[in-house]
Amino acid sequence: MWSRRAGPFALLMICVAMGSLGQVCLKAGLGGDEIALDAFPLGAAANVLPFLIRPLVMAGIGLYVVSTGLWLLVLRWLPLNIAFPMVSLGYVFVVLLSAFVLHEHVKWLFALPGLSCIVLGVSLIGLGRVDEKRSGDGEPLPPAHPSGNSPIERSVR
Amino acid sequence: MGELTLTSLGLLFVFITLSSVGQLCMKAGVRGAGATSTALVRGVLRYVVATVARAAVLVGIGLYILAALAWLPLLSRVRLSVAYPMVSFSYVVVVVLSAAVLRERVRWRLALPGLVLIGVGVSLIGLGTGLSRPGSVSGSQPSAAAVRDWHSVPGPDPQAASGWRGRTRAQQPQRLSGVPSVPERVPRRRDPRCEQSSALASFLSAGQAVCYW
Repeated sequence: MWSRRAGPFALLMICVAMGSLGQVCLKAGLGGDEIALDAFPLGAAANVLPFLIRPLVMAGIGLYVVSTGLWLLVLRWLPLNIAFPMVSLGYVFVVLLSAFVLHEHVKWLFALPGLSCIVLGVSLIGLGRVDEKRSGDGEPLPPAHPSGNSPIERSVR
Repeated sequence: MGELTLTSLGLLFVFITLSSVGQLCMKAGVRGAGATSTALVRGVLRYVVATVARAAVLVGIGLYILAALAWLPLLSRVRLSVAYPMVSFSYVVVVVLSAAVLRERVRWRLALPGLVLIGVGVSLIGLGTGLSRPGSVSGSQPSAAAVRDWHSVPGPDPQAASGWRGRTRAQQPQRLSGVPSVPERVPRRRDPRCEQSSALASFLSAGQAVCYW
């Protein structure tokens, strides 16, 4: 049940979540292997190449590409000053995923208040949008579908 | 604070400028795009393809890649807990620029505290990252290299030493208590700093994108 207002935000969440998932895929794909950084600009770049053919790394990069495409869609509907700070939700996803999927050691003493602050800040910025009739830059919202479904819901499905 | 040299500040400036202007370009390019039906997945795909083909969007994506390239040398000079808060500064820059250049209406009364909260949150996460030494995953003692850098003496390899310089004074006593009196030399491959730089590389190389998208 998307409302017209929630649609772009839902899409943004999907976009950020996919990017974060891509990040986790990259990390998992690398495993414990180190990429030598000996000759920094070019040598290191050459060292990265063999990692690119790993399935998980490729999945991560693919998720990035999809996430980028969705971001362009988000930008269409949301003013930049609202959408861009919300990208920081990626921190929340990445920290949670790296703790529970990658089983990394997370300092919750710092992470929990930090994540709460981010969520709170993003919510504040989002409030600026909810109050408005139209987006800040005059872009029309996606048209409400007669059936009550947002186009986004249908497109994502 | 030996880590914030003129070079790293310059890199930071370049990075924030490139990524912010990149975002502005993308938004400007998307703005000009005509209304597109996004009712179906095919419609979304068509929209994305048509959008990416627009010059401003291409320029924006290009600037983004350049920003990611500037990010790597920055990371090799500054530890993550310092670099993280810097990232949140780009949120401020983008909001200000979108108000000034794109003429978007910004509700500062909500945006300002929101941005501050995001900055605090990102800094807290970065602080936690900086405090947890990489070896702590397995509960190992800090290496000789870590101890050396703990005292803010630059290691022999400035690139690998990225993560360990310039802690705040308040963190030091607590951490020093865990330091063995005679730190043993660890093999280079096991050096936690390498572990960290590889973690950094995987975290950031392929995609700064996530942090900013």
